[in-house]
Amino acid sequence: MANPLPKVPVVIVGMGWAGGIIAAELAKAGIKVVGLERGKKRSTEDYFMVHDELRYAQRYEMMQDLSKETITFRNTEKARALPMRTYGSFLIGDGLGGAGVHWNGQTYRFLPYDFQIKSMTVDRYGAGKIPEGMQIQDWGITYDELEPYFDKFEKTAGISGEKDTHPNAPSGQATIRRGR
Amino acid sequence: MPTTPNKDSKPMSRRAFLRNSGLALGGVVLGGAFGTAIWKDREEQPQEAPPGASQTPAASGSYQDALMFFNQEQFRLTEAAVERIYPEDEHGPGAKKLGVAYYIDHQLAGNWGSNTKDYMMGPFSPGEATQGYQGRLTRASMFLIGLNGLKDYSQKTYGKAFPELEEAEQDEVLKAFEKGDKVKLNGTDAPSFFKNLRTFTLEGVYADPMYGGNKDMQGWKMRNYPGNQMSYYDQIEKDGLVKLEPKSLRDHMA
Repeated sequence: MANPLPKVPVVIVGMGWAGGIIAAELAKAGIKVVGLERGKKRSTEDYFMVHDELRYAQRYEMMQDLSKETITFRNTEKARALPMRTYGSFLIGDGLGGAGVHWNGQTYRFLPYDFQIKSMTVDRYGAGKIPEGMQIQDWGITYDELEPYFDKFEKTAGISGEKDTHPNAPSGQATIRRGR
Repeated sequence: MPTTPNKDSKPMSRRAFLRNSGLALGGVVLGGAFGTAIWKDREEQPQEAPPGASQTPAASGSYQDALMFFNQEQFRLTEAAVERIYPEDEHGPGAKKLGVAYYIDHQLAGNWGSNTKDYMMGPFSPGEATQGYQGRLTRASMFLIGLNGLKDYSQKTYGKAFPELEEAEQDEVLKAFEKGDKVKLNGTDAPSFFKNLRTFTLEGVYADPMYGGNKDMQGWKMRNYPGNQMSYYDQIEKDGLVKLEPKSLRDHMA
């Protein structure tokens, strides 16, 4: 039976990176948000054995239980869509934090050139460098405009790196937190 | 990673290469001369487990050395096959002494073998190669089909049980399964079985000893893999190579 809850101006389905950031920014602006997420609750104490590589990396402990719910997919229109029965290249996470919880990898900033790939190529090599029919475009937003947000996201996500002389390196220096 | 010339300029063995090529399983590489340092270190330290010296399983895992799933014949067959995939050599114990067959037995007995977290309901339909596993058999069933195939093929080709074959013959059988053209299995195919057997072997060698393989962390010790350290807090800022005794998940329970 439906259980009516107090109305809120914003409901976000999925509390991963995207939903989580939007919810946080809205909440900071004083707007009440309800976030919906599936899966079991997890907190720090649930990760006591997180170094168990077999359980977490090979057996996909953090991923959705496919026996309860899975997706169907096909790679061409002619193929028959079939359920994803076991995990392969595509991993579905669940729980608060979504894919952000089992997210790993290296997060580099895009370079100024990536945002202005067309104009910078033309500036440097001339218009003849871009073959006819190649549809590359500038993003319409530049590195400098986006830089404060790179910085903000890196601090939000705890991204760090060695301080180097690269002009586009993140501004923060990798430090080990002292004190236990 | 610097390559290290072998002292005797013999071609590098497979295991020496694995060891020297760093921590393929992950972990912290401390210092650029890591590979070289490990090599040197290994030359100087006494062998932890000279081949054939110790037949007694390490105390840490001995109660797990019993069967949850296989019968004796299936167990011996598995043990013989995994030993060919990860053989004992001058660097240390092979899959048999590392308890890999127990590891596989325990895995097949549990959730993984029963595909409890996979979608196993119908309707079933053969899929494209890109659509992954679409069968209805569990991993445990498929493994037994593979073992039966191994048994039959050995008997048919050499007139002997697989564990009784010479090593070279066992290798030929396994190669035939890997290739698959001469072996027909009912319900699965020989190359898939071989692939699973190989994956299970590597898991059994390198997964935490809690799971029944990697006896006494010997799989890790052979490669100087530090296992599951709680933290690298005390080492991360040190210069040069830091040698760590491996830690297992059991050490986290202290």
